[in-house]
Amino acid sequence: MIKFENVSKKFPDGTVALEDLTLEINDGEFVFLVGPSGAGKTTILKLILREILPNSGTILVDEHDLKKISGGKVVQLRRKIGCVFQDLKLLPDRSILENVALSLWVLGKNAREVEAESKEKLELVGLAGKGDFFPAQLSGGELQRAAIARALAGNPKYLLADEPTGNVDDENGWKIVKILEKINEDGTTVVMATHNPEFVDKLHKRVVRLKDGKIISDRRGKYRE
Amino acid sequence: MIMTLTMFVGISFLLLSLGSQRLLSYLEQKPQVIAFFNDTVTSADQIKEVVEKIITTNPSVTTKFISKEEALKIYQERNKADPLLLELVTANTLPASLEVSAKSVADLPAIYEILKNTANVEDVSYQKDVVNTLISVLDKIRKGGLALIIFLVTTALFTILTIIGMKISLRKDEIEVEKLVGASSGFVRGPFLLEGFFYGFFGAVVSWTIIYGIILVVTPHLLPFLGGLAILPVSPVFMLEVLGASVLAGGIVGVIGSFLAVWRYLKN
Repeated sequence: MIKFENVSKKFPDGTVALEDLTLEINDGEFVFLVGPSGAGKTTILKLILREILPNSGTILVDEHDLKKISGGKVVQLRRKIGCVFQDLKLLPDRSILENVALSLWVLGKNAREVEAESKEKLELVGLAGKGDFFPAQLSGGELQRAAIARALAGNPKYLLADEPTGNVDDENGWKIVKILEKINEDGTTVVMATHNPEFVDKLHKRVVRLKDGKIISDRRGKYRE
Repeated sequence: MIMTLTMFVGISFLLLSLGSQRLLSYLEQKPQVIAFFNDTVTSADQIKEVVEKIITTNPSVTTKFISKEEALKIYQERNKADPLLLELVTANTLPASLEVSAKSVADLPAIYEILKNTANVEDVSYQKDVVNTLISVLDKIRKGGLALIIFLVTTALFTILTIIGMKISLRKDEIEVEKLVGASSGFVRGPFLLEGFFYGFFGAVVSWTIIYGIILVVTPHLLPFLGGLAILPVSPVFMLEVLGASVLAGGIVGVIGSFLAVWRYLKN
């Protein structure tokens, strides 16, 4: 379970990213975070991953109070969470298989387990034959799927996806959304930030609408209702 | 390179220092004052009086009487490879002697005086100056070596810190991803610490190899001069111990250097 209680986040330049936000995401849910740029979607994901800390309020991810944990507890937290970053963060000098494998090496798995699971995740996202390719050799949609494969490596409890359909055409975007839906059906909690109404409307999941760092609606349904 | 140089100087001074120390111990253990008697002295009983006098003055000394026959045996043992020298010398040629070992170099002058003024003593051999010079040289080697080693270790630490720091900067993106996917501190920092260790390790092995090579090459040339002083030839077991100590010291310097870099550049 992910729980935000009266969370506010203000950046050093004065930008208020979140203001007194309260939100609860239960295990197994698929939640869309929608809203215009600057609404606070990415900030929420960064806070969950503890890339940044809130100025006030409490964030709980399972037993972890993110303001209170440090060191090994942060490592434990992040191992529960897979993240598809907006800028993907794929390492350009590593093959796709090696990029996926990185998430498994950090868990201390052995070489055989790492290779088998990396290949399994690439197969899951439809990149079975492209493990030896480097990021520069893949299309935008393939890169997004490679990033999803890396996020899924290690079978995290939560998957955060920041605009995973942002830079791809509708066909590839739809493929990505279907992969995320499948992952959610298998039990992973998915939190996806997007400003693409089409995919949100088709999936008919919980939609949290944000504007200026505040939740303006939180209901199951469509992008705009 | 800097690690190799540091370890090279470190090992060189270590060996010089140990060699000098051993030489000093050897000289201190050896009879420090030797009185050679004329031919009238043939047995220990004849010099009982002087021995008692020396022991009364310096209870800690040890004395040993070497008769003419024993002197011949020692001579034969030392020159067994040279039959010509063996033929020339008989027991009568060699003088009987009294070897006196003191625990401290400071006791030597009094013993020297007693022996010098003893009847039937032809000559007194006295090693005070050799020992004192050696102590002084050893002290200089230690101080100079220590200063140079401190300087080079500091340089090596900063070099490793800079190199590892640069590598951390180059791998910034990778480190960021590792952290975000749940890498432990050890997973992120371990490779850098290991790299620092290997710089020290290889520096030590390379330096040791060069130094041991030099020792092996020069040993045959130095043996005629230093053979009797218990320094050469250098025991392979001892050199392996030096290798072990060098690898450990180099590794520690390397790890400290990279630890400083990790601490400086990977704080969060």
